[in-house]
Amino acid sequence: MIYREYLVMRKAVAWFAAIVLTMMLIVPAARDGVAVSFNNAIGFADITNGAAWLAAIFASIFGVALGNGSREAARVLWVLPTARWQLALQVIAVDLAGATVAFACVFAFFPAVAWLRLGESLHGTLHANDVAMALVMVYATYGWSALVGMLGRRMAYGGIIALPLLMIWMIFALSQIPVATILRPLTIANPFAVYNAGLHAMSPLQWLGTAWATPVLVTIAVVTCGLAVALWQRAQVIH
Amino acid sequence: MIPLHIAHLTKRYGNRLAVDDLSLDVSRGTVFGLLGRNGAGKSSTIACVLGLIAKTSGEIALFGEPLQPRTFDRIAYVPEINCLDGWMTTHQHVEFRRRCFSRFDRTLMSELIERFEIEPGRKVGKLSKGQRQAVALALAFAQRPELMILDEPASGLDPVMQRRLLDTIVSAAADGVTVLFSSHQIGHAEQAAERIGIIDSGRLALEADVDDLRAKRFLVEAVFEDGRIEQHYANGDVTIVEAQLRARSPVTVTRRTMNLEQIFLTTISETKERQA
Repeated sequence: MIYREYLVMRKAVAWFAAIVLTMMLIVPAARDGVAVSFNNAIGFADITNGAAWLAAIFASIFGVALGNGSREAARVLWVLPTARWQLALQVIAVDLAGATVAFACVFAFFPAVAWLRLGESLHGTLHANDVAMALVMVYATYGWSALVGMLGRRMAYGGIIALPLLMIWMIFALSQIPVATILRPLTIANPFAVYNAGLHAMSPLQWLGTAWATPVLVTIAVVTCGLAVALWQRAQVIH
Repeated sequence: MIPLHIAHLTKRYGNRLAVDDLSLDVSRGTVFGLLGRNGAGKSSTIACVLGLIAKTSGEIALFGEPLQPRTFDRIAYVPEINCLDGWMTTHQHVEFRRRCFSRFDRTLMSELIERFEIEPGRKVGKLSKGQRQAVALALAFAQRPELMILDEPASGLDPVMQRRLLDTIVSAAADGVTVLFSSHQIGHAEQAAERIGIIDSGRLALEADVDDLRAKRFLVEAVFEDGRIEQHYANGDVTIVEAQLRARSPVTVTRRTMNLEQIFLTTISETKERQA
């Protein structure tokens, strides 16, 4: 199972890297964005943030693997001589490794493109805790996608809707309408909202506290992936 | 240890009864053909055996124990609908299976690639339907399983490939592999199976050795003076049927052995009559 998922991820990361690099080099908005940012002294924090969002999109797409693996078309996977929870964990492990590589690709491309186009180097300091928080946000997004994919497994690639749902949820939580204030505590389960709170001191979700953002994101990732594995196991006749 | 034991298997989809109190034993080294019309319950039986769907009731034992994930190391399964990932090449499928199944035999796989004329470097999705099926079958045989479960294995294969497949099945059985295959093509069972089970409306209508069936089932035809022709089906002692016909002074009475297709059709019509 590891090998098959590795093949999926290898192809996906290659496509992702190619698309991101092309966008950075060709798309005028992206190019101008890099230039403008550099003129204003782009820092590692901006790159970490950009890599986090792009890798989160990547992770949310490939979080569908478990849901798709529960569908009838994937019968070949159901007759493998491995415990079902092990199969699920193998898929998740490879996908998260792929998401990490996707994150690293963006992280490497930003300065490389900036240097090639503008001949400038980066400013600022790379903070390990920022990178860690960004990465676990990516993993938590993957977890939500896997969970939504398992809940809606009758629909192929159902997990993809997790990303827009999380976005809408976060925007709703950040809004000033009264209902949003009441429901705001629920956003502790939304990786985008928690990440946003971790980044911005002025965020309405600041009550989470920046120091807590990373552990909360880790918890979201573990709980959502755990629930997805449990649902996957339950969807099988044998375990 | 008997490779496959099914006792009183029942499977319901809502109100529809797909498998009805089916009991079956498949002994080691046997090629067992599960025959039936479309929708008779063959694929549901196989899906229950492999744990692909939950059975409603009954007992299934593989190699003397209930199905567990590790049992799949001894089983190869080829589904009716080809489930191989089309974006992977045959080489990649081989590598995938080799890593999953402890007894996967690459040398045998190479032989099967030649025998089934598979292009190993091409993506499976780019192969013809018959070739995709050939890849699935070759991968199953190369697992060196003790029990093969093949759901409509010859679908999509041309006559030459069908012949090669049946030869491969017979050869695997000679090496001690147990094969359970479902088909609605009687000819395949006639060529490869030693024992058959006929499923109709979810029930096992007949289970017997193919040779026994051929030896015991006859079609007795009597032609009378007025040109009438009567055909009677004899199961077991054919002389009684012949004597009954001769008592009515026909011109001729002829005894014919029944082929599997005739046995199948007779069994299905008998079941229908009983149900009516």
